[in-house]
Amino acid sequence: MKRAVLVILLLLLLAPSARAETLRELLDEPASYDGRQVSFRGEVIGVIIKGDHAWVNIFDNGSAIGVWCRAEEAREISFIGDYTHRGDIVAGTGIFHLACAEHGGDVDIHAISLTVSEKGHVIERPMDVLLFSVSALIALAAVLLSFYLWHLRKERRKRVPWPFY
Amino acid sequence: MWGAMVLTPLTKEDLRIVGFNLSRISYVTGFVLFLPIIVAIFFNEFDNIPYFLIGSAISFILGSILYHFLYTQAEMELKHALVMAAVAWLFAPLLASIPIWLSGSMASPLDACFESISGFTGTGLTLAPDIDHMSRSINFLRHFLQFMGDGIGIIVISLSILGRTEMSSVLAFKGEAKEVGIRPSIVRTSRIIIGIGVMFLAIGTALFTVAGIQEGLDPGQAFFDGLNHAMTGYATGGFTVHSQSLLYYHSLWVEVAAIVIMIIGALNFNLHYAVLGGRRSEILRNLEVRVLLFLMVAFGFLVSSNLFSSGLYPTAESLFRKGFFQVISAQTTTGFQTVPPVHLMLVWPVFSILILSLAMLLGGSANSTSGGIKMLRVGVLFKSLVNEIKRSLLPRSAVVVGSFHHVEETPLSDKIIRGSAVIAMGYLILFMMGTMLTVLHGYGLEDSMFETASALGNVGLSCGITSPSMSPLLKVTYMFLMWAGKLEVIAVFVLIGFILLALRRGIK
Repeated sequence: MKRAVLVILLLLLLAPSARAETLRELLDEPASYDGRQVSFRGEVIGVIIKGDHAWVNIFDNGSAIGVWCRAEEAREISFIGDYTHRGDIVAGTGIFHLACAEHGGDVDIHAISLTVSEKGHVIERPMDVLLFSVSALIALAAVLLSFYLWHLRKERRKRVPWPFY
Repeated sequence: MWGAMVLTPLTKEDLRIVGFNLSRISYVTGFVLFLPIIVAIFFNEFDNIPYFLIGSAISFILGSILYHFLYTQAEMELKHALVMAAVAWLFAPLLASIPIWLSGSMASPLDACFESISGFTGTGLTLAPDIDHMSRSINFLRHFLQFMGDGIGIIVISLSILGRTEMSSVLAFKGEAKEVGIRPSIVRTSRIIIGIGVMFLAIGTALFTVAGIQEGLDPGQAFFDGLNHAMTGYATGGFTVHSQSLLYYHSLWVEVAAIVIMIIGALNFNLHYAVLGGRRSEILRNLEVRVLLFLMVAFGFLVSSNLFSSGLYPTAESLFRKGFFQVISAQTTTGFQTVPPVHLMLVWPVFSILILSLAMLLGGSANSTSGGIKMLRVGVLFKSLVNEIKRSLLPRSAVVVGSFHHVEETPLSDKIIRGSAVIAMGYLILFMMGTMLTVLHGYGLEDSMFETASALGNVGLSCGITSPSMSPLLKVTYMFLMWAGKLEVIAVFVLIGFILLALRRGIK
């Protein structure tokens, strides 16, 4: 029994090596996390599938990083974040590299696990009818004013011809 | 050229000439702001259309008013060209900041102005808090501003093509410190510059698109990203469509495509024209190309060695993709990054940061899309230094004659040396001022030097200082540096001189 408790305690002690870090912490203190197992969480802003692996770029609070994972994990992602989409939130654990030897010195995370923890969605961006009307009116005013001033100039030239240089 | 000019106070007629010519800038900016509407329609971003309509309409209204009320037949002189250049590089970005601000992509109007100046001047420093969620049409506008502003040189082109006389067009080029001379006709020269720009835009887009598809991007994204990066790569501007810059792609091939287009952008228009006209040997004989390639290799070697010895990047590939790439990006004054900004500040050795700062300050070729002091001036100053050493070693009676090859054999005259030294000195004065102001905000010396060199050299590499949370004073300082760097300092000092004269003696 005692031995089982000791084993459980030992596992619990070892487990925290995969601490929960924000992307900002990882990027601001890269040396302290280099080569270590970390946990990550962020919104997907890009998926690039390369054979049986994929790059999943994730974004959190102004910081972004590439996560190298298995292609089948990346294929679970439904929404990639952009102007009209809130990307899926993915979370997982992996090994953080300040300068990954396998990927040309890129700062990255090699995922041990990556799962979609929150599905993304479409962001509706309806047209503001009032703003559109105002902008159309200003554009119309610009066109009318240009023609009016052009007409005035033409009339003035007829009356008083400009000296030829 | 500058010495012959007598600084007399501006008259009302002078202001009229400047205002009248600003109307053309206003019209052209109106067209530039109208084009992203096509992108907005294509990507179903209809909510963005009003922003571009308003920006474009205001530009046209302002242009019409200036054209009508300040209409003049008076000829433009050199002083007008200098003031015009200085004012136009503030006026056009101010107009272009309207849709950027209205779209809500920036935290404040000041940030929108910063982004717009950074775009027009081909710098690439950004205050956008969330590029990844920015609309494609606004993102396209940022890149398009760099291509039109710095890649094509829309301000000088609009003055030269819409200008009434050949003389006013020549002066427009001189006001922006660009020498003319590709073809005798300035309109033809402008067309050639536009033609060269469009040709390299097509080549760059093809390179980036193929590299993107090869790396696994879907063809649509590969083309859109490729088009934008070709625009900013050729303009040596450095804006990118993702917050991670080129690190987003994790791709050697995308970086190779970027290197090709950055180097093309950093070469002299005259050289492009000579080579495209069949004079291929010009590439190896040209002083600027030699200095540019020598410095890129030397700086690349120094930075890579330093990174290797610090143990940061252990493999040859990583040293090339981080060390050499950042040097090329700095030297060509582009600003594409393959390293997170904060890592330049916190992880990279100080020596590498200083070398990158030096590369950014020296810049690319004259008459190219690059910023900085320029390779031609660096080459001229180096040659004159060698001549001085020779003079001191040879007998007094000996005559040391120098020349350099830049499209044609040119004698190394005192006038050329003086001109180069004055501009280099102007850059260094502004560099020191910018660095001191940044240090005053609590940043380290080497980081302050890096960010200042980046703004002044119109580069866009950042070690993390430039951010939306930066103090307004520092934002204004960097806006001034980007503007002054684009004008190669002299036009700024002339404008300041005129303002001081006007304050003292008034406008007659």
